Amino acid sequence: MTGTTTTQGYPYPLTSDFLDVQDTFRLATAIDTDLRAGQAPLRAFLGRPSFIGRSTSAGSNVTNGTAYLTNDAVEWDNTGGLTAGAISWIQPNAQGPSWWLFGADLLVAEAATPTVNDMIIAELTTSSADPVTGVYTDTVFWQRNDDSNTSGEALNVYAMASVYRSSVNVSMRVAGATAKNIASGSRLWGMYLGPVI
Amino acid sequence: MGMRLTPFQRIRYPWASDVVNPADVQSMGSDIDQAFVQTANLAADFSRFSSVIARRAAVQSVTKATLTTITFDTIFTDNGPNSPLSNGAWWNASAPTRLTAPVACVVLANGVGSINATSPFSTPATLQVTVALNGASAAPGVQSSKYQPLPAQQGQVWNQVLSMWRLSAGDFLELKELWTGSPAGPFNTNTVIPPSISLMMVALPSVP
Repeated sequence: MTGTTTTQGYPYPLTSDFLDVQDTFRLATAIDTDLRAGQAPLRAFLGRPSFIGRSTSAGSNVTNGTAYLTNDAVEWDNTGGLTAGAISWIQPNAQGPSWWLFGADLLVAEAATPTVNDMIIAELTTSSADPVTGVYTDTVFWQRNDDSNTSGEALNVYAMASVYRSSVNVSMRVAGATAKNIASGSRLWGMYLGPVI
Repeated sequence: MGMRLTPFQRIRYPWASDVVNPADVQSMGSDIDQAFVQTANLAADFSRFSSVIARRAAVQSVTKATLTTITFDTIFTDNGPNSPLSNGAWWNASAPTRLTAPVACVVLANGVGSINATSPFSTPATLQVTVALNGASAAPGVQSSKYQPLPAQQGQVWNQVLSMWRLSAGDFLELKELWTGSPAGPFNTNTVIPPSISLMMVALPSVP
């Protein structure tokens, strides 16, 4: 037979039954479980879900059209959503609707002599589910930075988005005279900001 | 039989033949005490990620078409030594271009580059700002942004890049600038909106 503490309900042995070995086991495991639960949000903050993917080879040359960044190398990922060789990062299914900060720093290489003012646009797309209906909606974040003819362009796009069961990818849309590709070393990254409440 | 351990905090508890040993209960009490101390420390420290803001207040000459590493001379914030999660400064006067990670961490770093164009640009031209890892000047150790000044643009020109990095202890980030265009230069960095880098730890790869 055990007693229990008044606030947390921790079990403890009574003097009438002090030799019951299970009482100390119950007490220790109850405290252990509570500490695990109490520390969980603190550890979750320290290990904030985040990822960094990087391309390790040049993408396809495109003169007029769209090319996607491939995350060949996983530089960092504690979400489980980034797969080497994949285009998209996948939000963990267990995560509720959440705010995220996403970014892409693309290096753009020219297949031939650059043409000044060739159109170059970065598009970061989130495909997110409605928590009630499950219907997916794409949202595109844009940044335009046309060709400056200065030995390769650096193209960036950033987005703060609320997402749920989402996938995220980044692409380069070009139109002009000279073919271009997303060069090795380009990155897609993201970090969890907090729940949508 | 020896004492058993709880799965999370490894609190010792007596089992079977040890149950009547008072020292075992004392051991359990001591482990519970330490587990609460650890939890209290974690609660006090968990949000205290370190951050740093470094600027180049004085002019620094930037030669045309040369990726130039900015030397910081003004440190607005460097709370690395006060952060229980890093316990070390990011900036050190002995290596004034570098922000060096005291511990393994994931960071968000915003680099701002600027020049004071004392003669007008014509196309093509660019101002590139780069955050570079461990002295890199090209991929994969750089994350950059380019701005194309308009024809005849003159005076202050700025650009910035937001970057995210997974750093090991001892890795360092630097801010670099490059400009090209018709003027011969060199141009100085701008003193009104000076080059700067703002960095904050956002996650630990390994949670204690």
